Amino acid sequence: MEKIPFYRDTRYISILLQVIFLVLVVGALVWLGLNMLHSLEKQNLSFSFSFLTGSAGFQISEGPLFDPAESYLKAFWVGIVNTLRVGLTGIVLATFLGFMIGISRLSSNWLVNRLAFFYVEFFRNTPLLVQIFFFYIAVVLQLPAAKQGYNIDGWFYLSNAGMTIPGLIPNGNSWTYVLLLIASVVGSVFLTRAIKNNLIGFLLPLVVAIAGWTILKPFGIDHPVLGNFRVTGGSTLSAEFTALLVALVLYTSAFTGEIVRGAIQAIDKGQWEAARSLGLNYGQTLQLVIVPQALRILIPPMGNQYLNLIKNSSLAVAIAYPDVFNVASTAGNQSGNNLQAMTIILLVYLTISLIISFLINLYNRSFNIQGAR
Amino acid sequence: MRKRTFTLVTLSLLGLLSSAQADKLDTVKKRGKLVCGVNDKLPGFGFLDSNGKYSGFDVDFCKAVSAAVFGDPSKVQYVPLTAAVRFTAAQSGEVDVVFRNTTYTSSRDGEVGMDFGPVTFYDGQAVMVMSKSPVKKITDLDGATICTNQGTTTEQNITDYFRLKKKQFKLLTFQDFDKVMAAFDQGRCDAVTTDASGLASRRAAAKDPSDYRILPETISKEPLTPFVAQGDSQWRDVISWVVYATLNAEEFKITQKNIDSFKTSTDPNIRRFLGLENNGAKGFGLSNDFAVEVIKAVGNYGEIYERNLGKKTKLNIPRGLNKLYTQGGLMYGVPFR
Repeated sequence: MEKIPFYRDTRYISILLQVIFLVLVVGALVWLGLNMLHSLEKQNLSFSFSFLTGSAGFQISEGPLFDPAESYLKAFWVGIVNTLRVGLTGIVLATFLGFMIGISRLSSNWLVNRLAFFYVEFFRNTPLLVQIFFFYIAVVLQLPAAKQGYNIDGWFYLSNAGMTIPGLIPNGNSWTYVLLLIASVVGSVFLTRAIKNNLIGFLLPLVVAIAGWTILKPFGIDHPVLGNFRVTGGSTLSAEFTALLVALVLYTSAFTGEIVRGAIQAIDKGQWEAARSLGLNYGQTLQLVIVPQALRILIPPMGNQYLNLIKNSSLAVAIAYPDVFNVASTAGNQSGNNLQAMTIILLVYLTISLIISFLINLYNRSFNIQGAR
Repeated sequence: MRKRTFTLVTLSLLGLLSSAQADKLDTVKKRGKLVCGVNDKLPGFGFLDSNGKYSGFDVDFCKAVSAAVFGDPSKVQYVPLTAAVRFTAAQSGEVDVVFRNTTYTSSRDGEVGMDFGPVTFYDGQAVMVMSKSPVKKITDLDGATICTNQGTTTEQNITDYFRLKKKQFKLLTFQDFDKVMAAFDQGRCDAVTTDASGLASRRAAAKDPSDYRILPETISKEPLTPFVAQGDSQWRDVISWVVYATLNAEEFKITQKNIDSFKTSTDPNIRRFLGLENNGAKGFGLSNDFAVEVIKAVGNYGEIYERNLGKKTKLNIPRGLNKLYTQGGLMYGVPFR
């Protein structure tokens, strides 16, 4: 048998091709890196992160308490918290709304079905940035200004600055109270099972909550006050946060709705028929038979939408919500470290995204183990 | 051995890179047009009108540089820049020079890696409120929400001012000033802040300028200055001397119209300015008579000012510090000699 020369041997060729590819990729990366360092050096700039410890000197409008005298590092932290705040709330709401939309799209009720259809087509086919501006400028900012806003003195304020309700100031008894509440809820579950009486099970936590509140006084109440210009104190849902959150949720749920619909439709018709012949109604069929199987199909694409939502939240910069992108751009500009600030932004989004994908994969795996595959 | 190979490869790569980056002036000449970074939303300084034409004080200086390099003020490609991206745009070479109401500061000269020319407009940060607001001075804004745009010196200035006066406020920073004004008009912001000239421009562009009132205090020094990427002193010289040319012309009372009548002048200062005698401009790559092209294209500093910001314009910004030094201002044309 004639020996095959190595250049025609697929084993060698495949290794060779991989080596060439790897060299090209690494080479390109090295070239880009050197290019950057060289042009920085040419302009007497260094790629250093030492500016992070310096005093930021600018104000951040919301999020964890921040003093302008604190460091850039702290400013970035505030930005990251704000990104997570809007991102995680958005994910929960977009999932919830997505399920409603997806199921409505499959409804045999003509009106519900058409409404869901128009919802999906409208929100997924218009640019998110335009939607954000619309909700901010044409909806939220159309509310009256702070002084003329709607209010119940000391309790509730609604204006184009946002919505403010009394805040809770924790004191020494707060933890005791929270633990007591949890214990009463757990207790009521057991109690309900034991004596088969739903009313008592419902009343127990309520009584504990009210009695505990009057006896322990677990929280001080921070009443908001309308000052010369705006409401101070209390806890506020700002106009910027609300507009961004609403736009992100409406936009993303158009996509998650389609994912839910697709996943449900992918379930074999026989499953529906089997459930029906067992005597389950429409709601039970969905809840007990269809959705559990659909989850397996929809988790991976759902994860993609979560990642998109987090990344899209960087559009916050357009409407003055101080997310990490907004804060980092300011910090980069003020300190003259744009490249470093961009690097930090990349790393932050990368880290958040990787953590979310990890969790999604974990969840996905736990679902698949029980499956037939 | 391996180390040496690596060094060699690195050096040759670096060589490739640096040979690709020739002098800016040569690049501009070869390209046949100047790429000038400007504002497109600030009437009077840099504004893109509905016909797609740029106009304004800063835009005229772009034309002046083009006239000095090509003998033709129209060879400019304008690139609209937001405050946040302007330095990156210059650094990356996307634009050759930026004339965009930018404050000259030590950190921008140092850490940001820019090279600044001469100041073209002495400005200061001010605060604007609605006319119907009871606020009389900035400290009356204790507890107010103040809006501005991102990536400017204004964010730190206003924070510093309120810290110094021990007053509270809330700062909202938008990506561009149109959104700042939208939020201001809706009452989301009690006041807006930026350079006094910028406020005057916004006020003039409003449907009813009397809706807005600019508070009397100036809280900072904002010398607005053109800049280029650091590391090309010849190119910076070109920008500087184009600006100085407009100032010298005003000192000599040379205008766009009367410049030809000066060709017979016997004053050696004027003869050098016009390039009739050597003035050394060849040293930074321009012809001796570049100033003639500049003045013919855009006029002297006073003419540029009056055309874009002066009494006959909507903005009507008093010249104040921007008068010539001979008239009590700070404008001083470095001599052509």
